[in-house]
Amino acid sequence: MKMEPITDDIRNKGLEVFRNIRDSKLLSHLNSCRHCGFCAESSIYYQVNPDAKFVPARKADLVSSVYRRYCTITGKYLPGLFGARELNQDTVEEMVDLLFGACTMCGRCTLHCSVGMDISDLVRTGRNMLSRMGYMPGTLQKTADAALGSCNNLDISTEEFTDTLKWLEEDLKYDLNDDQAVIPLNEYGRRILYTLNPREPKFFPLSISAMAKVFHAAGESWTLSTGMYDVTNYAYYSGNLDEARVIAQRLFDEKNPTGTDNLCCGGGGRQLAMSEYNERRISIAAMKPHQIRDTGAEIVVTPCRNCIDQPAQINLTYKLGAQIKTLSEIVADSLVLKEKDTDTHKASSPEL
Amino acid sequence: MVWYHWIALLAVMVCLTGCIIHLVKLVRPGKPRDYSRPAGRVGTAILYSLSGAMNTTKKESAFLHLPTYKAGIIYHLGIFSAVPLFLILLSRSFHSAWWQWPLASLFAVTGLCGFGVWAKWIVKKELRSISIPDDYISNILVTSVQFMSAIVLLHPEWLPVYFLLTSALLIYIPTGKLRHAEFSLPQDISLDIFTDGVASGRLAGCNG
Repeated sequence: MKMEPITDDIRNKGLEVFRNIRDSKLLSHLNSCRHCGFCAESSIYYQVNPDAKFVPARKADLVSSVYRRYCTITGKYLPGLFGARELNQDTVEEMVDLLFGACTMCGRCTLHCSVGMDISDLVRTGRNMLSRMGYMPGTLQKTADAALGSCNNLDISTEEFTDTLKWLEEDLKYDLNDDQAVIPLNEYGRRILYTLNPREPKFFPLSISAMAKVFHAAGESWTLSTGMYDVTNYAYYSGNLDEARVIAQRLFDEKNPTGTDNLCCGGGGRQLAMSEYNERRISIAAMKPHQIRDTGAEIVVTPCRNCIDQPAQINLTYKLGAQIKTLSEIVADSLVLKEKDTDTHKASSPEL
Repeated sequence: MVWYHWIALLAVMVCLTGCIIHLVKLVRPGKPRDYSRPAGRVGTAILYSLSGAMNTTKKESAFLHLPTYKAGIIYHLGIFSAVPLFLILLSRSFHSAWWQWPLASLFAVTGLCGFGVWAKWIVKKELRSISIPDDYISNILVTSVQFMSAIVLLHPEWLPVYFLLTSALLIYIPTGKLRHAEFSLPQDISLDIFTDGVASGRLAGCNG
């Protein structure tokens, strides 16, 4: 990736991150790594390509070493002894390649760190530095700009979104033969605000229909919003992971390892926003076909849209011949709705 | 008090001063802003992080590196045992006692574990690539103090060397990697102060 040469001004913008540390947690993590290397296997990048540069501690140390150089006396005067690095062109290039291009921010290394260090937080801090200096990968920057400008990272206009929902709703009513089947938008007072990944209205609108069908069958009070939200990393940070698993287990087996030990579910899906690293993203997904084949599954279920695009590509690249679906699509396909007569049609929610 | 006691006391002062400066720096920024709702019990998480979370079957990093992980635990046991020994030797004259041999044996074993970890750093390419000179020096100092603790328990004539070596270690603690003891302990002990309770509970694999 071609980068603008670093200047003192650019460097200072990056170092501002360390000059304004606002929580003890980050300071603690910057000074806690023992360099034991136990975290190596927790990275999917290292698992596929056991190169030392992919060890999470190495990525974290890129950030800590710059901190030591500019914020500690020993690092300032004895940089060689204490592993303190200048924030120069070489360091920045390595940071961009490893912190953006070789980390999905899945948090698996943090979970398995032998001393509980938040490695993801350090990677995020490094990305913050690079972003301030203007060294964010171009495709990711475009995505971020789109999200800032239009509230969604694919730059979908409100008009386009509402039009999509309108025809989806018409199709839903037709499919269910029920005028009560709706896709509510910006309805106040609803119990659930359902958030979408912008990929859904843009490329996979039928997954919205599937979710609407499930809500309709459940008689749920819900709505979508024109202020769309990017709900990536769902499995790691949503509060109802256990419930999602219970639903999935009624229908399918989980891959192994599972739960918090699982590998990033797409094997790098969170890298989709950076096409600069497409080749590496597909290469690190190499462990996923084995996991999927081991289950003997014909259908693979993942929780969110980002995590479905990556397996879909793996499916093609590694010729798995499986179907890749979201949980809502599977549940919607499995629903058997009771036929209603005309009188009950308008009166109440449908029955399962 | 003889001359090497004074040097050791001076080293303790330097170490404590450095650690207090670090502690002030560490505490000053305060607790991170937490946007999430509190969940779980902090007390349970702390207890778990200091006990169950260290179980060798819990974390991949432990069970995939079992010999080194166990060596590291034993090594740290030696470090924690060396502190009271240092204070005892500093505060009173040395008298032979029944516990000399068992304790010396313990330090010999913990020192060997430290040496093993150091040797692994030398041999393994991945570890060499993530290590810095400070890592090797820190290990050499701590391991040497453990071996010297074993020696001095059986041969008190080595007390001057023991105190000089321990003093070097104490002065080195606030400067480099060894200060992880000070910076990472808050992660384990004061989860509610330095990290958010939700993340800590999850990190420790604890639903509290």
